[in-house]
Amino acid sequence: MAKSDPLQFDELILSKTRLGIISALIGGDKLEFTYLRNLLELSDGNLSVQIRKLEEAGYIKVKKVFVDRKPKTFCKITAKGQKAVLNLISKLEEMVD
Amino acid sequence: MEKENSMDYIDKTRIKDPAAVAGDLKFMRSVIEKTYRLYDPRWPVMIVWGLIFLTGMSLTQYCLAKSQFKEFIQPMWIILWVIGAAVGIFDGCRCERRERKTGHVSRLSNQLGLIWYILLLNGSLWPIGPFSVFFGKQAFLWAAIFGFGLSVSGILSSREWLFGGVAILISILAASLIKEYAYVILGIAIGLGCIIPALIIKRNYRNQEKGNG
Repeated sequence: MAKSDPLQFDELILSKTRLGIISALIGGDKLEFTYLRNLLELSDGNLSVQIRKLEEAGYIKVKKVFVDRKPKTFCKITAKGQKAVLNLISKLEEMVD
Repeated sequence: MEKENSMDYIDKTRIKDPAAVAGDLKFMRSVIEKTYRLYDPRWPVMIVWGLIFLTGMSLTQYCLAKSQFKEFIQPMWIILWVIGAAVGIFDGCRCERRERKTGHVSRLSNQLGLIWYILLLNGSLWPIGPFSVFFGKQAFLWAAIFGFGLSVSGILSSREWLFGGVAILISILAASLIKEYAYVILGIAIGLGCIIPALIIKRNYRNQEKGNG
C-alpha cells in the first residue's frame, strides 16, 4: 500500500484538483461547494466527484446545512487530510530543492 | 478532466519533471493564500465596547467625585453592559450568517469569538459570589481583561489589536500610580485601545475587500 511507505507519494492527492481542494481547506475553515468551485474554477460535476473521493478517504468531512432555506454543502479538512497534504508538500519541496 | 489535472510527472517515488512540481507548489500556495486566515475582524463590536468604557469610566469618575450620584454607578454599568452584550450577540449572529452565505466559515473567527466570550464571562463572574473575595477595583479588572484579550487577538490575527492591548496594560501601571484619576485613565486607555485599532482594521478590511472584488 502506497501510504505505508514513507518514500512513496500519497496517490489520492496526486491530482491537481484534489490537491487544490485540500489546500483551500488546510487552514481549518469550512468552505462551501460554490465557494470552492469559484475559487478553483472547476465544474460542478468534477468538484463533486473529487469531493466524494476525498470524503471516502477520510481526508475531508462534508456537511449539508440549510442557509436561508437553501441547501448548502460545507467541506472541512480532517486531521488525516491535513497530515497527508503537509507530508506531500514537504516531500515535494525536498525533492525540488 | 481528471487526466488533464493529474500530476503524472510524478511516479510513486520520484519526480520526472521538477518544473511542473514547482508550478503545482505555486498553485497550492496561491490557493492557501486566498483562503488562509481570511476572516471578518468584527470591528463594530470593538468600537461599541470602546465607547462603553470611554463614557462609562469617565461617568464613574464623575459620580465618585460627586458623592450624591454614587448610587447611579451600578445601574449605569448594568445598562451599558446589556448594550455591549446585545451588540456583541447581534454582531456575532450577523457575522455567522454572513460567513454561511458567502460560503467561507472562518475557524480563526470562531476561535477568537470563543476567547472573548470566555474572557467576558470571567470578568462578569469575578465580582459576584465566592469570587468576590478576590475582587478589587472593577476598573483594573476590566482593563486587564481587555488588555489581555486585545493582545491575544493581535497575536492571532491583526497586529493593530496588539498595540491596543499593550497600551491598555501600560495604562494599568499609570492608573495605579495616579489613583485619583484611575477610572478616567483606564477608560481612555480601554476606549481608545479598542476604537483606534478597530478603525484602522476597518479601513484595511474594506481596502482588502475592494482589492478582492
